[in-house]
Amino acid sequence: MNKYLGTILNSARLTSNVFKLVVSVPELTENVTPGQFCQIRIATELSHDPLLRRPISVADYDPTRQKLTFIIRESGRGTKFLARLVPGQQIDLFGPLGTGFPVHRLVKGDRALLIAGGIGAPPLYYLARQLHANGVECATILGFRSHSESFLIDEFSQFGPVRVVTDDGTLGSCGNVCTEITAWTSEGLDWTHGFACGPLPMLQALQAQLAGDGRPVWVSLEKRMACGLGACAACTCRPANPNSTASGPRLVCKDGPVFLLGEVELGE
Amino acid sequence: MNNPLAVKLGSIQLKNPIMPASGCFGFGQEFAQLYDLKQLGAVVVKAVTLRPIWGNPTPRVAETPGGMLNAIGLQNPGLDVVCREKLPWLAEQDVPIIVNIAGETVADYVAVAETVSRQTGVIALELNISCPNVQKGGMAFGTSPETAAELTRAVKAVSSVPVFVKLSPNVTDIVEIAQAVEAAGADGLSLINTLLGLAIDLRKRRPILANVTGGLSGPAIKPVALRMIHQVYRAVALPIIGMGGISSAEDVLEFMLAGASAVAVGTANFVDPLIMPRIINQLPGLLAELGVNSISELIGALEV
Repeated sequence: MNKYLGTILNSARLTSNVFKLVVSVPELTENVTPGQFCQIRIATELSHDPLLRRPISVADYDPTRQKLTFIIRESGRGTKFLARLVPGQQIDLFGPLGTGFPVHRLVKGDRALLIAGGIGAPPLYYLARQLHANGVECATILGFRSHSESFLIDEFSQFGPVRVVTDDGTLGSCGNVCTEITAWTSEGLDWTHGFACGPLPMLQALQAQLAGDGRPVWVSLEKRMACGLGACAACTCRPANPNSTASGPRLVCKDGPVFLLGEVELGE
Repeated sequence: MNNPLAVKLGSIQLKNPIMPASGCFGFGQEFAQLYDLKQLGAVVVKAVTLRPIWGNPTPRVAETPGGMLNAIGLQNPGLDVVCREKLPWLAEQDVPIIVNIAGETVADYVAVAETVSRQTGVIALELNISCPNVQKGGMAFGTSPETAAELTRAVKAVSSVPVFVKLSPNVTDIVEIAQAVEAAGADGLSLINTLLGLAIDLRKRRPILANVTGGLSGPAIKPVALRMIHQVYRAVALPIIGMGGISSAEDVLEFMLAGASAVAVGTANFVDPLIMPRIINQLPGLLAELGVNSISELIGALEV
């Protein structure tokens, strides 16, 4: 990881409150693993407020053109600042940070199930693209609150079948990602490895549904953090099994954000 | 040629006055991926306690206007792991080490001080009597002059290196505490620790931090830190490590004018992980611009 200067190439709305930033980072030559994130600086030389960087997962990376894509939900002061960036403006990126998805654990012929809830979809998009390129079959479930909040559906469809589920039934089936797993499974869905990113209640429900399943499922977690580097110990989570060899505190920023489902306690 | 950034902290010589604030830099390993720690005047490590501490539930941090609250709760791997793994690694980086120590009882502090003060590379202890985020110990030792003095005496009796006492700003009169620890034999002072604060999530009607309250740091507290350093500098003879919102080379010199002999950079490391080497590189130019030959000329040179 390092600190990089990036230039905004494109900023586009995907929904009323989700936007995509494409950033050119000419000096970035290190590998970026799906699931890793960057700490994007908000504070400027002229202003200390908002102060802290915002950890944003990488939604795509083009290593030949050194282009990073971030898909961000506008939800607070920091992300509102990012939403106002326009092409040509420069941003300070610190990354790539954290431990991403174990892309190379899967080989040609493996079947991945990607499960995304809302703004959890972007890191899974970059993952799907890499898995697909490696000959891994990808099936995707995208859960949204409503049709108006849906995004990335066509993009995921390039890599395999996609099922959409909404809380209000305005797009795809009515329900949530868990009911969709059940429905699709009864229609013959078959997978070997699972990957999920979404709100905490979704991940908790998934954990309950898949308890004892045996197939590995990796989840990407989110937690309030400051440094993003493993130094400040803000984003600690507890290992689910206190007797495991790595029974010390685990940090979302460094040991994660991707963990094997069941490896750590899922809580605020 | 003389090094214009050299400073003295009592008997301790530093090649420059810049060090990280305890808790903002872990044990240095993470930042060593970004730059050579040898550039720093010293490294102040995260608070060390006798036994490992898990710390508080999360969320542990909340952003606030021009600053942040934290309630980490002294999470650390405990004395044994620190002495076996963390400090030996840091000593190899060839940078002076200051170990921040904390505890629930006087006996805890004494046990930690006795052991860590004898580790290779450790040049001083920073006695943490000001952590606002733990139930026992921490700030409880730092809000009464008598208790602070008693603890200082006990730690001084066993430490083989100078002891700096890190003071809490959450007191009516910080000068009274500073004088009490000076009389008890402290070799220096660190100030300020964080200011106790509260951040609220309006829609949930709940505090953002799981611990309810946390310590405020960042640029928001800089004027409070400067005021307290100024007050304490005028009242005690001990060298002061100043901290509280330092984010630039200019800030460093302001702290030194107020009376600090060295400074610690905390929250700003999260905003710019390369900030300490950047400040160290900028200081000579800034001193030249101000017509100052040696940074130590500025210590306490505030004209009032």
